[in-house]
Amino acid sequence: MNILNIQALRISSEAGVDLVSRVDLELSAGARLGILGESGSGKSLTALAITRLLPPALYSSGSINLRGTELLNVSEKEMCKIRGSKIAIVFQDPLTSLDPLMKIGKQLSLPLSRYQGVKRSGLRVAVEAALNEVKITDPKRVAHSYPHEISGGERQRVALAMALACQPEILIADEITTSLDVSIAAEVLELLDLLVRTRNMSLIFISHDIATVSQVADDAIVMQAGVIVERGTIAELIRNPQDPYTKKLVRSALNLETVLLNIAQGTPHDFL
Amino acid sequence: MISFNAVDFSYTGKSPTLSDISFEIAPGRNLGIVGESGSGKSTIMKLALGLYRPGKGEIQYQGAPLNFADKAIAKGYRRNVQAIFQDPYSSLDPRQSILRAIAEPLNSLGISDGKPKDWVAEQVKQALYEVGLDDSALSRYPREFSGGQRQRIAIARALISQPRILLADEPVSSLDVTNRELILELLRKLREKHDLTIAVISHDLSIIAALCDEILVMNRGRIVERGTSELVLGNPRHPYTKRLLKAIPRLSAHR
Amino acid sequence: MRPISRNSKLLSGSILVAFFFFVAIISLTWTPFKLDDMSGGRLSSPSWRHFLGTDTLGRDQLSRVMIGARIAIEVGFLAVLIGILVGGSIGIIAGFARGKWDDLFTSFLDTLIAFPTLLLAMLIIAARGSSLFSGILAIGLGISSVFARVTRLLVKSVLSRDFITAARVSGTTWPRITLIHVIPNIWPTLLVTSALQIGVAGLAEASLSFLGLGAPPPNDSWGSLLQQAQNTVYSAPLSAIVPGLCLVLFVISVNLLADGIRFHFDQNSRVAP
Repeated sequence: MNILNIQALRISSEAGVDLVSRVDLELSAGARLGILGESGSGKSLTALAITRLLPPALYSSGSINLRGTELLNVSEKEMCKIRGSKIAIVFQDPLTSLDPLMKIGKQLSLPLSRYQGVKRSGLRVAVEAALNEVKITDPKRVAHSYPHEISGGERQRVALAMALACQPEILIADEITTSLDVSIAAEVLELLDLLVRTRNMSLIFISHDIATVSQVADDAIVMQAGVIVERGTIAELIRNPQDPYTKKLVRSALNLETVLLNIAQGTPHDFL
Repeated sequence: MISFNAVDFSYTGKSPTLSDISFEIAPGRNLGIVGESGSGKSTIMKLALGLYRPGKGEIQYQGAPLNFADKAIAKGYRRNVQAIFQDPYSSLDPRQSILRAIAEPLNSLGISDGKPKDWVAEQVKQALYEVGLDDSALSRYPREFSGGQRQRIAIARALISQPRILLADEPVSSLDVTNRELILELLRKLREKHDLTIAVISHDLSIIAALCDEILVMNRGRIVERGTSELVLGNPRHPYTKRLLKAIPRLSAHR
Repeated sequence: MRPISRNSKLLSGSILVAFFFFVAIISLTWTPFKLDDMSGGRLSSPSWRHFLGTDTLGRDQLSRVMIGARIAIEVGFLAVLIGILVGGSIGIIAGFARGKWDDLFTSFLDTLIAFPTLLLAMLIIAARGSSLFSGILAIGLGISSVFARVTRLLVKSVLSRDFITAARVSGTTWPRITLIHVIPNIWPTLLVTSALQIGVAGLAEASLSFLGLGAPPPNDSWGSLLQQAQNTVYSAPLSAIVPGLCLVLFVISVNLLADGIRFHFDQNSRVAP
């Protein structure tokens, strides 16, 4: 059963230029969908359109249906209720998505008290529990810190905790590991996988790197210049890419692995 | 050609950015320096370019200690050791035409002294052809070019003095996949043609694997592993290297 | 790239400022009446002879307003010139400063900026006596702190870009880097700042004159005219309205010009995200 159904989504600028067009996608409960594309492909705009967070100069049309509710038609007031509790979104740079002047504990307590109705006395415990869920090793220290006082990996985990505090059905992750070091990124991806599984959420994972997407998603759509150029299961896209752009993405991601394979097999290879 | 001997360095004087760094860039062997943020890899590049002096230890060029105070040595070094940087939107002066941008090393290093006026323009044209652009670019400005094209222009500028060594700091990290392939291809081709030795500094092992013969793995200001690419990638010994390789997402699970 | 003809602010701003310039230049050699000509009758209303009427001493208002334009332009441009030369130099040096020197310069500049221009003006006038040049000097020095701060920030921002590193790697010396890379990247913004500060200088001069610290007659600026009009504002409102309006129009013109310049350069040197 599909909880999210997008049809013929189009996002255009004031000047009438189409930035995204003819986007159709379906998301069932517990499904994990990847959106692959680079800057300018329209992937992030699509995510923003779903949550009705597009900048005012852009217009969206088409249909975004969340369990029967047409998101493009509801009032902003209604949308506020949906954002966070039904659909949550985490962005690439946690430094800009966390309030720099507010301690982490305080920031986290806001959605917890609002959406889960936790009373003041129980907030400290709830905050620590939330930080534990995202595998923060020292919840007390982090709760009392400001965003710039903790590491990039920790910030991203906090951002995830904030998104999850509202217990959403759908989590959208937009390039959440792109700014992180490789080893930290791997840990955050593992965490994401765990969280999505235990909470039975649906996931939309946006990235420019097919290898990263392959770690967390089962199906994916490939976007280029505002349109979907290919879609399928991850396995299909990797084994049998049809579109030339998809082929490039796969080939580029295979670079290292090909080299490693050659080394392991002792095959002479040309590093040049 | 370039060797670092027991180099220490610190920006602040309190915590060391680099400790006991010793390695060589040997002619014909592309070197990859891989590390995450804070590993010190960018600092090595800045030291190798003479932008900072080592706190301890010494950097040598062709056997002799590198002394930038000596103008002649400095000029000779800069002719032979050039660089390209990560951000194509920051590495070109927006107020300078492409002609002047690429010609700058020729003028500043005295290579164009005594040459007729059109000689410089000719050299710049040649450099543009080499990187796959044409001479309509000469009078244009950086804002008219895409990221991939700007990176080519930066490469043209770096190669115009015909250096022996090219230091590349995250040369393709800011580019999209199409341009990434094109630039890597370009670097390979130029290396062949001009007998260039390239040192790549990157956090991305796949780029290093694509270009380099030798690899240095850096962690927190120290070299934790070194060797040929075969060795380091195929049989890593240090736990950090192993962790790094393990953390890279693989497609093979799905093939 | 938007051509100048389509940049309405630049056009209108330039035309208006040019108009004031024109009036100022003319007033150097000719005004409808000379300033010692008090034959017009006290506070007479506008007539064909005296276009804007006369003041309490019978002098032609139009002539006095034209002189005021000259003062406004003189003070505006000269004070800004001092500001750029003094402030710009300090700013460039501060921009290159590192470590302890950087901290030193920052504290120094913060102190300069905090120092009230009017107080500085009073000190200078107490020392040199009140004259047009004292005013220009005081305002110029006051403005230089703004230029110093803006220049410092611009220089630091330019120096952090990779093309400066690339220039050093190309063997370009620091003085040459300053000349061919730093200055071309900072002067458009400094030009805009200058245009804006001309308005600021004009207003500052008006304040000084209004307080009686400005240039003594016959160099009556619009501020002086306003101060003198305090007594006659009800009987002859034009005596206050005209200089006030001129001041407002002058400031609007330079602001339009500043906006137009900024817009022009924004189009040209926009760095892609």
